[in-house]
Amino acid sequence: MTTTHPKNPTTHPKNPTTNPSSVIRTRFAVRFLHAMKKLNKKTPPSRRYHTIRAAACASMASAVGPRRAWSRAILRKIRARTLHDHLIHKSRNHRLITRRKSAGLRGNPRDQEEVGFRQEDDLRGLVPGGEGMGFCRLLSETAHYIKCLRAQVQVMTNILDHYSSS
Amino acid sequence: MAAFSSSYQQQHPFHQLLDSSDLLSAIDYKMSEDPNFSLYFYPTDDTLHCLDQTSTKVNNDQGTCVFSVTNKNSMDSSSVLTHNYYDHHHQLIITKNPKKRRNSKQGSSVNSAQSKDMREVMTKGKKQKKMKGCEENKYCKEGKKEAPAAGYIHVRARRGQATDSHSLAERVRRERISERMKLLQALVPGCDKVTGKALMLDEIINYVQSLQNQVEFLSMKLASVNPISYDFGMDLESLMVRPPPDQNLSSLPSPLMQSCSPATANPYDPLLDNCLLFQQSQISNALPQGNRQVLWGVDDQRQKIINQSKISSSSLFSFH
Repeated sequence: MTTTHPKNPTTHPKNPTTNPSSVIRTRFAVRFLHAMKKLNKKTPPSRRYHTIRAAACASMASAVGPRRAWSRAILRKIRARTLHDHLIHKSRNHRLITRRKSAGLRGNPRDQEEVGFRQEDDLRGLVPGGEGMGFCRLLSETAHYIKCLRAQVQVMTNILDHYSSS
Repeated sequence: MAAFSSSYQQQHPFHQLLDSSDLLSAIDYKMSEDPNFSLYFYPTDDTLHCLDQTSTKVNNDQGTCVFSVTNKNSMDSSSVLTHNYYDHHHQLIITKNPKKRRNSKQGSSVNSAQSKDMREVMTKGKKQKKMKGCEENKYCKEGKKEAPAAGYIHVRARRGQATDSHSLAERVRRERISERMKLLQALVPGCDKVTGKALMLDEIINYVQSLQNQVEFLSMKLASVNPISYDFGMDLESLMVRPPPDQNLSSLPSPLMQSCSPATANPYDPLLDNCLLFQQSQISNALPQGNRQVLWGVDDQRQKIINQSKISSSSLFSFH
């Protein structure tokens, strides 16, 4: 006990970095580990892969918060899945919103002339919530999403190293 | 022409009174056939006077009437009338000017000149109107465009570039897209070698896909590795050793990794303490209160560890 007390302040420095990407990284790591711990108790090994993937996705989205469209889309999906009572209602709303957005923004034929339509649609399929975005928005969201995916991959490799090395 | 006169009569019953006189029937006749009507029509001052009176009367009622009647005096040919008729829809103010009527008494030559002047004025007026309309439209459009685009880049059209609001907006959009593309180019490795937006997009898509696949692969690996981590004692001990591999990883050239190492190290410090506690088989009452300030997940984790430790006496190490 006495050894742990002085250790606390020394080994736990106040978060020194103000870099937002590192903040997101920390949040993601905490959430993801938390989810992993939960998962160890409950899930059968057959479903473990899916749950870990979902946990990685969800913890990334919640680490980013509702500032970004892609994280909002993921969070919305999770919420719709978890809240069974409001499932139908929410999905209906969601569908309505996306349809309205897509009708408003994707009707521009110049987009399709300027940049090939195949790539644009592919990118829309890859970035969560990309169906209802304008092309400009889609690009900026993609940039942020790439950053976050990188962070995710790094953190996950770190964790994996630790699990496998032990 | 004939159609015009008939419709005119129908519209203005006042004209039918005038029509009964020889003069106006003559005018109507002339309008349809005789181009040199003014030569023998204008010398008669009485008729003009009469017309003047009627016109003033009409002036009280309707401006349109005045105009058409006075113009009949100054008319040289039917083409002029059509022109004026066309004009009088647009510019009624000119016809209300009494000077014109006075001038019309002075003779046909003057009248023709006058009518030409009038025509010029009218056309000018029209042009000005059109110009004004254009300008107003422009202002409206620019106002519309600039009001939402206050935060954005202000674009000026260079020589030879289109200036209507659509193409301006389109140009702004294109600039923004290329800006974002540059940002993405810096992010995605191997994207700077590629030229052309389509190829760049291909690269971006490939990169995103590869990252997503990596995440899938990692989660698969974690799922396969996970059962070992049932042993919390082992797991947390391994996490105790965690900072060194982090340092090793941060020796990679990427600055992101360097920023990562202290950040990722943070959540494990409380785990480390808990681990020690666990190893000493301490119960929650004995936990230090100083740990409260650390990250939010800690309490939960500690609780779990404690629960685990309660179970551990019988079953924890059976997972080995």
